[in-house]
Amino acid sequence: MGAASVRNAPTGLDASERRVLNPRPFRVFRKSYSVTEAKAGAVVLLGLVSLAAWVVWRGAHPDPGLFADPAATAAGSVAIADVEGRRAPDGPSVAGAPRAELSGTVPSGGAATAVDRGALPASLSAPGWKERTVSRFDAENLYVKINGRADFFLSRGFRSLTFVTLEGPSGTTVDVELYDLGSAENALGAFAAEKPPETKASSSGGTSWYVARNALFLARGESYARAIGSDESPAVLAQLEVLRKAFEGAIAAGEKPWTVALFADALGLPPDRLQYTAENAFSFGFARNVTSATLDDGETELFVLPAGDEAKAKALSAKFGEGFLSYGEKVEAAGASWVKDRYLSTFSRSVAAETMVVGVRGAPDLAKGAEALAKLEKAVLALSPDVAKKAAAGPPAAAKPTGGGYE
Amino acid sequence: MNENRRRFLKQLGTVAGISLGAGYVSLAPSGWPLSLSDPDGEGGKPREKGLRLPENGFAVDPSNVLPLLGVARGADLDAMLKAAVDAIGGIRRFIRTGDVVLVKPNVAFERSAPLGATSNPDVVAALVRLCREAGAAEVRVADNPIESPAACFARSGVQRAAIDAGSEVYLPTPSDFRLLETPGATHIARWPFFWRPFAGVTKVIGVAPVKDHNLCRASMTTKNWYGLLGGRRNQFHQDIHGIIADLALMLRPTFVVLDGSRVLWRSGPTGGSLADVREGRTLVASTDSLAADAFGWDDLLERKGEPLPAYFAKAAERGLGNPDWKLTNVREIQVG
Repeated sequence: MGAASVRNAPTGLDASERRVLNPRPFRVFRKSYSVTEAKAGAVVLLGLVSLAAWVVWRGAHPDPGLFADPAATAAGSVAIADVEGRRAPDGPSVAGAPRAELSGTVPSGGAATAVDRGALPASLSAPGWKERTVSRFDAENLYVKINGRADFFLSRGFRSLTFVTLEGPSGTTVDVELYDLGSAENALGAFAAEKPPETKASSSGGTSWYVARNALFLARGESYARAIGSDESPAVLAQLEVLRKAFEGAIAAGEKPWTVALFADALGLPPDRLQYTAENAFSFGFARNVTSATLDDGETELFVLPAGDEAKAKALSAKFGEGFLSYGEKVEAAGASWVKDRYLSTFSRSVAAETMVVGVRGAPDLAKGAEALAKLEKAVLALSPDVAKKAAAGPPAAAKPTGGGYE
Repeated sequence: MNENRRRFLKQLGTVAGISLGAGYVSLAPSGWPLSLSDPDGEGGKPREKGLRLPENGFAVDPSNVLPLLGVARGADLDAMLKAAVDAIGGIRRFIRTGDVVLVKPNVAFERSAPLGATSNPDVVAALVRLCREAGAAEVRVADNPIESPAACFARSGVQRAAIDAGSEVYLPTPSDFRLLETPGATHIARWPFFWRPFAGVTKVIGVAPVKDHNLCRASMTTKNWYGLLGGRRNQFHQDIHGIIADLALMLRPTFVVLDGSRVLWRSGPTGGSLADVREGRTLVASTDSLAADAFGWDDLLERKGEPLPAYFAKAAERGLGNPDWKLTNVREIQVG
């Protein structure tokens, strides 16, 4: 079928060079063609043309999903229900929602299907109350639940949020949000940061909590819980009490944080005043793993942070001194250097205490500030080496979104 | 041999040229001519033609005589709303017979109304009724909440109130979003927008609660337009003030209502505790979102003396309003 080809290759080249340097690459040497080859070629050509046509057509008629709202798509089952619900068949019109949702008895949460309960106690409901679907959120999709407030928790070691709504008599509800913040320091920090200044929290058996009218706020172990009632009726308040007891019974209190031992046990400050800042404390880029607490005057702030070793503690303390100086000028008192804030007229100072840095910030009265700092320094020096070593390691790092969510 | 060398060099040059060309188109940064680089895969997607809102938004002709801010205080929300709108020219200045009106409340979170995280459903209902009485052919209420739309609209009470007052509620579905082009915007020059309720709309009114905000310090009428965005809008929180200034550019409403019936004065934007909410007993109507928000900052959030959040200046620089509300014409009315 095929004819022998006669190639007119350049002379003086060996066989392999002739293959590469064919001087007539487009010349056809065959005198006849295989019909089978021609058919096969036609089929391949037809396939390629079809493929090209399909690509062009798809380009002109793209999948609508490419333009869909990714956030809505990410909302999983609930979003799909919304799409399928569309318009109510009768009565008042709601575009995009199932008719049943007009009653208000809709599944809540919005971002997840039924999942494991995490640290959520098995039994949460008071008599006459029932649970809706439990949903969970991680660092990647926390914004679906609390966009705008998500950063508050992401900066405090956030690992997961477990959410459930409890439905009570007469349509009352309590929304339960249980945050796993990875460490007791973070849980207490979030608790203290959300606590209104005028509210007094209770602390016992490893639990810190308070009720602010319709809502319970509680920190225990690595968890921070918020239970938000739809009103402040007796039924809601009774449910909040049930929740408090359930959390106390089911969530491990864990080991007492050394900062609680330091500020609460040694210095007698309420644990709910503790603030833990993982990074950039006082707007100082070098200030990490800082725990602070405010004294009774509401202004003087004591702080402590582990440095690793004594040399690092001295260097870090000096950095705090420089940082404070950027807001004021140096003053000497009783042989110690302090910084007086040029705007607020308050006093700040930090010192190295073995492997830790301790300090006082914003003291309106220098003598009282010095007294508080001396007490803190003494308490830190009394800590066992084991505690200091553990403190230097710091709490576990926060779960950071890996992309897509919080770029 | 010379001929062979010449041929060799020509072929070498051809191969080198092709290699360099291929290397350039594949490795050159995506903005360069002929570059095929597509690091995020977006270049491979079909390019949807963007939509645009009307040139001057939905605003009516400005007035040099009428007050810019109408502030009504009291307890009767219907009367307060009417008084506030009357102060800036009356509802018939804004709504004509046959208008199709979109009312945009803030229903971002699944919270009951008393917690102050969402627009007061009674204010939304009063606004719908006011538009209906002015002859609006259709009133639509729409928002794209953070949480489940159905749950947010139901729990907040906005859905029931809006429907009972005679409006149609639009809940977002994935197919309701279209690319909107906002020339001059920094972040949302082309961005998915909750388009379906806007089809055929002639007037747009925003009604937003007064809220503390964790990131931008205050969420009021300008931030309220965030609820019309789709896509990965949470990423904008990295430049929250920039995006709010963009929102002011994106949507120029007929007028806005600042719902100060309740004020979420801390723990915003989600709130949760009634201890974070105080009675505001105030409604503000204005054709200038920035002026209304600045009034809310000073008077309702009670942060007078504190510097305004940065988005006010960013939006004002673009000529999108006047945050210095004290220099504007303000009419305050006590109702009842």
